[in-house]
Amino acid sequence: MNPPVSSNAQSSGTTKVVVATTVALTFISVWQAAAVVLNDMASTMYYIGGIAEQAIGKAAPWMVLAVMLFSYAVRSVYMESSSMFVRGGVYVVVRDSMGANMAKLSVSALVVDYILTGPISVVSAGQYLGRLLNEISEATHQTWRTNPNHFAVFFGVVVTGYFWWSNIKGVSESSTKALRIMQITTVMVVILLIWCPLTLMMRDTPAPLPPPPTPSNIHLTSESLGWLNGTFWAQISFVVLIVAFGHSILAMSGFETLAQVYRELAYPKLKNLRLTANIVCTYCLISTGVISILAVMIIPDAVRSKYYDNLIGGLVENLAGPAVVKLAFHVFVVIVGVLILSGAVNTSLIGLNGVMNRVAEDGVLLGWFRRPHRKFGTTYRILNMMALLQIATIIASRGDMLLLGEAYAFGVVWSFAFKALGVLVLRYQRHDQEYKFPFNLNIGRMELPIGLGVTTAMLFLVAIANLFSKKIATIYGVSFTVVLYALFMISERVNLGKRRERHEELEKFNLDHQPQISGETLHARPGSILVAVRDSRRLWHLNKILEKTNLRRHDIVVMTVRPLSTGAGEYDLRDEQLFAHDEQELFSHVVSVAEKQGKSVELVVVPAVDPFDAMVQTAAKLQASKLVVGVSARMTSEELASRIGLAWERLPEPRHAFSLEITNPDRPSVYVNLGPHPPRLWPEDVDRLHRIWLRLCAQSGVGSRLHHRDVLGVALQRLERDLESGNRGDILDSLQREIHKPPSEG
Amino acid sequence: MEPVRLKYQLRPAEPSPSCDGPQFDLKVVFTDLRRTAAALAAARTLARGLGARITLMVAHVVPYPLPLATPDVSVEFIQRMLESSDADSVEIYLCRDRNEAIRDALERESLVIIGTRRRWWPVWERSLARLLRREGRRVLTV
Repeated sequence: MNPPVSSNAQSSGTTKVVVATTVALTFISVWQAAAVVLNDMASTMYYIGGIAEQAIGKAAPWMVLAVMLFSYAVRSVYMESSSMFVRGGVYVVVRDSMGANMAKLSVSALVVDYILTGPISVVSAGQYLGRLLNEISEATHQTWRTNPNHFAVFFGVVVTGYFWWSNIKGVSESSTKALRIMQITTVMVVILLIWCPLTLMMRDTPAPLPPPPTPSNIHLTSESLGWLNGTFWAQISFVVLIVAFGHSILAMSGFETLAQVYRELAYPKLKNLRLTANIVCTYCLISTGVISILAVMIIPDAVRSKYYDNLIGGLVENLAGPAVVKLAFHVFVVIVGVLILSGAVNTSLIGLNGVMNRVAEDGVLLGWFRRPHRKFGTTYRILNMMALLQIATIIASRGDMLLLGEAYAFGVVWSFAFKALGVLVLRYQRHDQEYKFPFNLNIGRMELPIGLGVTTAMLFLVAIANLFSKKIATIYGVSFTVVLYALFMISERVNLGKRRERHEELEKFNLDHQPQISGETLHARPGSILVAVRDSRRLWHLNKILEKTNLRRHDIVVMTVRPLSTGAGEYDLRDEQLFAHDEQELFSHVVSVAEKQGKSVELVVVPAVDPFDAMVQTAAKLQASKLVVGVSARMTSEELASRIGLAWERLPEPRHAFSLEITNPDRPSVYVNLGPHPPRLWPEDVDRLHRIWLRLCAQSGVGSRLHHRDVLGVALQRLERDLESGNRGDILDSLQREIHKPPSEG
Repeated sequence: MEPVRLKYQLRPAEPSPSCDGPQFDLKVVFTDLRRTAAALAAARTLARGLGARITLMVAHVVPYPLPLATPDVSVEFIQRMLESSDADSVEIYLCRDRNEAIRDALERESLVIIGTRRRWWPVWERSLARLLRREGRRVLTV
């Protein structure tokens, strides 16, 4: 029980408080977020150049560069979706825009993307490592050689097995490692960006740029045309360009992670998302796009095909400089590659596990899959299934990077296309986009999202072109998608019978029951801002405070009062009574508002008979600088201020002074200082005071020693005396006239 | 980066022997089951003399791209796993970085016990101990 604060407040004193914490209020910097996304996206630089050139010829680097430029448009799709859904990946966006069936289809494509991320990354790492071992063996005049494809399969199976086991055990590496890996990768990229131009300058004959990506320079083989080979479509230049673009599209795989990190980006959230996305796109444009061009310029045409599976390795071998230095740098490049590519295998398993668990929460996957491991507690059945699929893919690929790349592009492009379509449909269903894809044409009341529409159309064109031009990818991707879709459908049917009701998605809170409020427990420094909330639909005052508060100076504490009937305060409430569904729903909305702003708040539930007493007691105990409430539907702002002011008067001495802000959605806030404070005088009273002071200065002979405050002091003393000497009625009449004076007079 | 704190009491608070102030809190960092058991045993011996309570701090790293709210191992599972531990209370932190989470959660003058592995190569427990010592915490490694 909280000790009573005054005789009056005893009955309404707080019995105990609940401090609620949730995961929602955790924020990271732009650089950390960019590192996490880049660990996924930048790894493609190791294999995209070789895969694209095998498919479309020497003009491939320009297509890779075009894809990297197009990634800025896809970035805008993700930004628009994130501005509507704080936690919205492909699944949520498509489910909310086009329904559950399309969502199942899109998540199936995403799962294909994740399943393929592992094999393509790890086989690529194995190719780099195997070829480096051969190079070292050759440099040291050894006869031992390994078949890079066989080595890549062996390495891939071992690494996937290793990460499968660490995921089963639930051993996770800290996220700072992502930042370290990106720092090392950046060192490698910078060295390449300096060394490559130096190499080109040192050559006797200038190296030509790759041929421009015109239809005549794009050489599509029968394999890269697939079912289009020999058809009328293969003669159309536009189709050729789209097919070529489709062979390079996997250069921008990994964007989905951007949607995942958005939730944790710090304030100002959207601005930081834009910054993160720009860092990611620009980094990939340079590392993937520019390095692919440099590789074609530096590695002679005659030998380049040897390096399709380890293009950066080939680039290093063909740089100018002593062989020992080049070998050392090659070792460094391979170490970085193994780190970043193996990391992608781990991320793919974690991502797969996350996506499958997410759909399982919606009842789209049987609970059987989510059964936790007896010893480690992880969802081992999902992990087993996904790791087996990845290992099977690695073995089936026999280390062929081109094959893996083709199949990978299927998942990448279809999940992008579904996502973009979802965002486009939401343009007509919702109007709360804080960010909109640029290039919108307004005709009267209608808005034509030209930019978004063109991007969506482009993604679908590429997806459809891939469907016909990549035979194996289509067979693999469609088979996987159909199997997964069927699995989701069957699971949903089975679960439908078991599910009685669908609960609204509410935040899970961890409750810390405290006997009383303290700034320490709430992690609120003195001078914090206390925001009282009651109705989840009326949180504009919280929004306003979040917008204007600098968290470096003031912490924000959000409180709600759990009403008690008189006398109930004498009994302890059960936990579920203190934090019931209403409080959970209210705080879920609070968390969502705070997340959108990217600012953290502390949450507290205070049970009390009188909400006004509870608010001022909480503010006093926290030594808050301000109490913020929304305007009440049941009383005027003046009455609300007066009741809170009276509650403040009931606080025991010494009373902590703070200000009260009553916010209104349509009008400026009303500010009231609680407790003794200098009054804000009306302008005419200031004039009157000044006139009296001038008269008194001239007449009384007190001269420069008389101040305005002395005049006010005498006036107040006389008023106090009059109140005590029977003139109370007259004074109250004057006060009534003053209060009700029309604004024109004042 | 702020971690998420989940706190629960394994046993009711015992009155401090001196009864003239709040009980001293001994913090034990969870490393693995075997070494944590050793650290807890050392902490129990110390706690008897000091009349202290033992809090077991578990920093569970949730890897990207999983949302922090949905760790790969459920919190209930971690709670069940630690039910039989010799701590008075357990604090579970869902975090992205283990060392940062522990560092942020500890008060300046905390007494911390960490069960470490004896290896010739660097292990995270020892780097955590170094980090905490550097910042003024009293750290015992067992």
